[in-house]
Amino acid sequence: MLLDVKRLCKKFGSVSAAKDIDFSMAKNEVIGVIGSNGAGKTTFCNMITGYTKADSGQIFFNGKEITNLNVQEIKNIGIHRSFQIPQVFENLGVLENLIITDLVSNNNQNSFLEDAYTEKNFIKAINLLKKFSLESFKDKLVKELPQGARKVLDIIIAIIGKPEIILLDEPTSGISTNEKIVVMETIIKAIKKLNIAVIFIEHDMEIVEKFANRVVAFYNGQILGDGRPEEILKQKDVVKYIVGSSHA
Amino acid sequence: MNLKYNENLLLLLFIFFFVVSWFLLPDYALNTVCLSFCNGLVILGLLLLMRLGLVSFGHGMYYCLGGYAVAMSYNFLNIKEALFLILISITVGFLISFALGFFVRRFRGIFFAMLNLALSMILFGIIVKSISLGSTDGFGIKEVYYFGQIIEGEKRLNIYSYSFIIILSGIMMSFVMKYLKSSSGKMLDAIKENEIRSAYLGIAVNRHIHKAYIFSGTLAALGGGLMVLLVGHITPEDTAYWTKSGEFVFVAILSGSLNVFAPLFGALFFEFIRSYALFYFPNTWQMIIGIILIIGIIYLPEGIGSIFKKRRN
Repeated sequence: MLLDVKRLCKKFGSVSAAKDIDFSMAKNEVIGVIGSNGAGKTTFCNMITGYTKADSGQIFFNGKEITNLNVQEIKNIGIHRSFQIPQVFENLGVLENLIITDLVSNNNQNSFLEDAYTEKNFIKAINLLKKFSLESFKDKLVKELPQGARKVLDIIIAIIGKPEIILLDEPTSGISTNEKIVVMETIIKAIKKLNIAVIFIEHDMEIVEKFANRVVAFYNGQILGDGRPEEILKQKDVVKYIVGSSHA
Repeated sequence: MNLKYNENLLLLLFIFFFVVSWFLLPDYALNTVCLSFCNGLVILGLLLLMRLGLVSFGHGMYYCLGGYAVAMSYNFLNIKEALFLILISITVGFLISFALGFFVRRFRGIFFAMLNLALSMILFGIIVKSISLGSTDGFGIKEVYYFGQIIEGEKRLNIYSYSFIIILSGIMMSFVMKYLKSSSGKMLDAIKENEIRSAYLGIAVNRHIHKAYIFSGTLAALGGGLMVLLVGHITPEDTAYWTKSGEFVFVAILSGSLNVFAPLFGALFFEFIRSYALFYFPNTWQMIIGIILIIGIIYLPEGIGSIFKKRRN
């Protein structure tokens, strides 16, 4: 297994955000994580990426325990993430964001002799933008980008360094309904080409149904259902607590 | 971004222009140019910190250390070669900023600024209370050799000292330019923009702040060392006292941090304005300086350097 989570628990005061969560993930899977607000989705992702420490339980990545590693160490071994609110360098250019990230991931941040903004680095960054159909924004500052493009840029930054798993926290939030499918299609298509496994948190069931090959449904810090989208999204408890009757 | 834009050529022209100015400008102007370059090196150092979003209110300390390193080496070690004296000031600036960097790199914003000010005032207090360090009178130096050359009986400002200061400043500007263009230099922009995000990306934030601080302190020490070669005298009040550090910050804000030319132009602008304001308005020159800063902030919020800012396509 690529990722293995065993009996993970986390409490915030008297509230249980994770209760004995068992979860595993194989290579190249695309998993949609669903659940109402406060169900424990983001806490689950935060524990995997080291942002929140679990109270008990274990997390294994490629057979190696990573439960107590910090954010940076987890990133270095190949688990990256993007955020609900894009974490980009707003006042820098799109290409500058990509080049700086690339320099860091290639362990090149301490070089005094090599110029950062070389033609080679620009071409590399532009090619990356092309993969995500974002090349028309190459000369823009990040703060000038529309929300959808900013989200995609955050995801591009997250895949630099070739992770084995990427966690996307609500990749389509803040994007108009019309754009959602197009944006998600672009993201998933590009990520699949790179053989990266994906866990994405999503509230839009249409997106989950269309792009996930497995769905994990959270409720009250527990996994309510885990399986193929067509089964889980019709499961009685999932319909009652998460999806709502109109979708089912 | 225009990759063909050649800053190196501009720098060469800049240095060439000032070297040639020796034959064109009157003595008082040459003296002001040289002093501006000495101060400009400190402001160049502040530019590196401003690229990180940090301001030091105590860079007069390094200016003072560099100056005292030269004056003390001259008087106590009898070293009279300018190049060796300057190497000593650079080494002192490097070592002290390296050591203090471990301490100051943990602080941000006003705490970083005030901590540097406090360190500077401690140095000021030590020198003022130490008779062996010249106390408030400081030190003076006499003739200095420039690569073995000396003009007997000539003024302290001569073709050797002038070209030495201008060319050395040019070399430092090219180093800073190279640093800012390098991978390491670009990390400063990222840290200034979002330190938490930078740390998550894997940027060694404290290490980069430390490196920039060392570079900055070393430049300030060099500026102080060159100033002593030019003026021939140093006192703690003219270097380590908080008003001198404040003046450097004033000019740094006036200059902006967009490119390496801005600090030198800012220092030149400030020195000339101050000279003329002192001459024509001896009792109100500070008011003139204040008004100029206000005008600068309103019309050139990114500093003098923004006059030359390239337009983004």
